[in-house]
Amino acid sequence: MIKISNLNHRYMKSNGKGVITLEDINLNIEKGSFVSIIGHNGSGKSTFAKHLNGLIVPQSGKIEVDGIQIKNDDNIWKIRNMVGMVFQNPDNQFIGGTIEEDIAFGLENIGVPGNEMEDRIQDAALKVGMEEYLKRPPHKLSGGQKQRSAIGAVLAMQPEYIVLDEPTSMLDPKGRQEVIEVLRKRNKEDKITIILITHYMDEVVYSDKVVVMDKGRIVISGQPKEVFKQKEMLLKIGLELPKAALLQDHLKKIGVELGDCLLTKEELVRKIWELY
Amino acid sequence: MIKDITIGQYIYKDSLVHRLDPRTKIIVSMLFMIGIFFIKDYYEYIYVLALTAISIYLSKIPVAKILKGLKPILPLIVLTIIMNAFFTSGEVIFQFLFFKLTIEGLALAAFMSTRIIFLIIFTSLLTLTTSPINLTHGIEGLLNPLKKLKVPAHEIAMMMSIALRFIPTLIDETDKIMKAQKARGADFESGNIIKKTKSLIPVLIPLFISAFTRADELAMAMEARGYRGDEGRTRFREQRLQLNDYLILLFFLVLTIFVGIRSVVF
Repeated sequence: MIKISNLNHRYMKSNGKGVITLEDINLNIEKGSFVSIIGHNGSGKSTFAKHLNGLIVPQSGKIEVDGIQIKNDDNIWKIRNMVGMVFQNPDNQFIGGTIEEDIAFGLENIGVPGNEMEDRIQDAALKVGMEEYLKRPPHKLSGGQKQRSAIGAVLAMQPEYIVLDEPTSMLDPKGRQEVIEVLRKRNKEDKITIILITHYMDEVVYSDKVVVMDKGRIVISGQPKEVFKQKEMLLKIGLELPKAALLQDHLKKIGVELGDCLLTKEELVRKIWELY
Repeated sequence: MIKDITIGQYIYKDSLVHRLDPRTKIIVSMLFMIGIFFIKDYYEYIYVLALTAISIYLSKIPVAKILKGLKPILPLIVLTIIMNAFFTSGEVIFQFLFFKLTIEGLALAAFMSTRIIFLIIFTSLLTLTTSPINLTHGIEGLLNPLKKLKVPAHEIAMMMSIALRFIPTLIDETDKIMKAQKARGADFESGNIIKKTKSLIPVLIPLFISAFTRADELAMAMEARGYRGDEGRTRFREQRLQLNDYLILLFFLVLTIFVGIRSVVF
């Protein structure tokens, strides 16, 4: 479990003014769960993500990953083994000349013996469906493929948690779907905890917990259905509803009542089906 | 189009030379460079020719590809020929102003340019048979003993491999920026050299800015994946010298020493 208590963060602007980016964050992330963090640009969600594996050390407050507190240089490398991270721009996190070299990079860093690497690379590539492309250089891959291999590179290091900071925002719809599918599968099959930061509402509907951030604070947190019930609040802070919920909302306005908040296309189709 | 250019000139073949350890190939190239400077007579080039021919044959690299590699250094060869032919004192056969073409000059020109040609052909085998990434690994391996002298061998190799990795990405980006600037009416084709160079500024500035952003993000991604320099690092596909490597190293070492001693003694 990742336990975050009273986390604060501020940075100094060049004019000497302090800007608060995170304010009194309290959150527990259960092992094996799929947690989504949503929020507008500048809501502090990326800063928050970087705290989770010690890229930023807490200025005040406490973060514990499986009981180990992120504090100083001694344990930061241990934490980074436990919490993997995938970033937004697929090109800027590709270190190796080919996919296999890129996956090997992380393994080399954590001191995996050379003869074990081949197996772990194969295994990780298989898990993200990139096993046929291992010898390809990054510029011969699509955005979705690059992001999947980035996830593979993190998986090969066998972390307990994976934090993804807007992994789909530079992808086309197809690539976006591929990435989300890979994440859901790894969460279900390998029980890896996924912490997904995004601003696409449709990506969060399958998560166990949704955390909504605004101006450095957590505004709403709970199961997707409960979160998306608070429509006014979400709209106020500049977020929208998942497409299914949006359509349900429009139908309601013209007098078609579908009951509880609906989040996925399947649910919506089933409800409409039942109407007649 | 622009991104299809190949980096280096590596040609993949399954050959004895390709399978050699990059370190072996680098050392052999150096030994060859040293050895060829000990050669004093034309007829001795027959041996060099034989050695080079056998190496090319074993590498399975098409001769045409190798000769193509000579093209860029053609000006250098021409310059060598002119300098040697006209500025060597001896029996004058032709004179134009203060340029004197001499028999000795012609002989020396032929000798020198042959040396350069052999030098280029043999060393180009190194880059033709070794992928850039293996080349950097080889360089790191050779620099490793210098770590005791505080030479940052690992860091140099890491910088080289990241640079190699980002060349296609940056070419791609240059292409994009150029198109974007063209769409805004930028003109890269007309005018003299100065004007053309100046017109590249609107391409270079965005390229640099984005390169710095990339570097920043890449550094963070590397840290997130547990990179902390050389410390506690293992190697994927560790290179080990095989029997072939030892034999070839020994052969070239003995050959170079022999050629060296002979040229000093006789």
